[in-house]
Amino acid sequence: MTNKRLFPILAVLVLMAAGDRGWAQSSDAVVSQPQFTTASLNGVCGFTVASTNVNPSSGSFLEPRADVGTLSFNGAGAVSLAGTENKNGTIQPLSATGTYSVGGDGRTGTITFTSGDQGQFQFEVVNQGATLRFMNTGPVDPTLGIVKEVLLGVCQF
Amino acid sequence: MSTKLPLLLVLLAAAVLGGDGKGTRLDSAARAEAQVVVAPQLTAAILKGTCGFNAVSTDVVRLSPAFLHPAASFGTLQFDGVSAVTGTVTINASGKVVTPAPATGSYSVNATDGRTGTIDFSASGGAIYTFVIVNAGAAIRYINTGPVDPKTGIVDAVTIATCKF
Repeated sequence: MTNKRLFPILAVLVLMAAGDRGWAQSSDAVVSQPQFTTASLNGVCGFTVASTNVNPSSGSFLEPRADVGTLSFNGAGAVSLAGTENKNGTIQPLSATGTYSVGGDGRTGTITFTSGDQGQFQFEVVNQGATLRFMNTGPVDPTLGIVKEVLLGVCQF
Repeated sequence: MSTKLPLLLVLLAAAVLGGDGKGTRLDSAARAEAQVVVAPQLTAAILKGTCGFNAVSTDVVRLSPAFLHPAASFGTLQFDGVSAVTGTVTINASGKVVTPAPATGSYSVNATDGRTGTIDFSASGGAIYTFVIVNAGAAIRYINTGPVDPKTGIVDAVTIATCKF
């Protein structure tokens, strides 16, 4: 094969390869959902929480509470909490340790504090992993059959 | 055969074999999306400038179970990067809108954790707040933790707020 005949073939192949890469970049420009795992949460975020106690026997008095502090995730399922709370006017420290995991959907997960100030939470990873938004989901009081508090929080790395 | 042919073959091979641009780019994007930045140790110097806040609070009125006096407020906190802070605020307190005079106070960041700290307006009759620095110093989140009312023995409100630079 002569050089003159081979060159156009090579040129076409190079253009095809380059063109395929261009198409791939174009289609991938659509932002996909970020997928996170338990390992993705590795570091310290600062949180605030607003909550209200649920007191069925006293329907009109709901005791507000606010918390501030940090959550430290180790990237392997362990989490610790340190903070301060204003519980209906009484200031006291917060401390807890527990476990966490990110679910198979890569966006939501759970935190369970098994020692210290115990509680169960569900969270969602947002803002490309820079923020967790969470609420409490437990424990259920065996006497009342309900979670005794309604809590909403944000934790930012 | 020309001496240019080997060069063209090398270029072609690089384009076809080494050109997995799609996979490389997606891997990088996935890493960026999944990355969580480890918090740095911060000092009072990180808080320099003016942030804008909004806050929501509820008065604690233990003897008045039916009316908890909600309040919302917004304003600015101006930090000097050392220890002084000035606050301006407009408050909607149970429907009554007031704009108190600017308050001056002090602030500090705990050296132990480099993330939490205190803002103290009590010298000018205001509140004490405990905050946590987030987003690499671009915002603080805080609650009120004082002063304790000597009559009631408690802090008379529960406040939660965010201030962004």
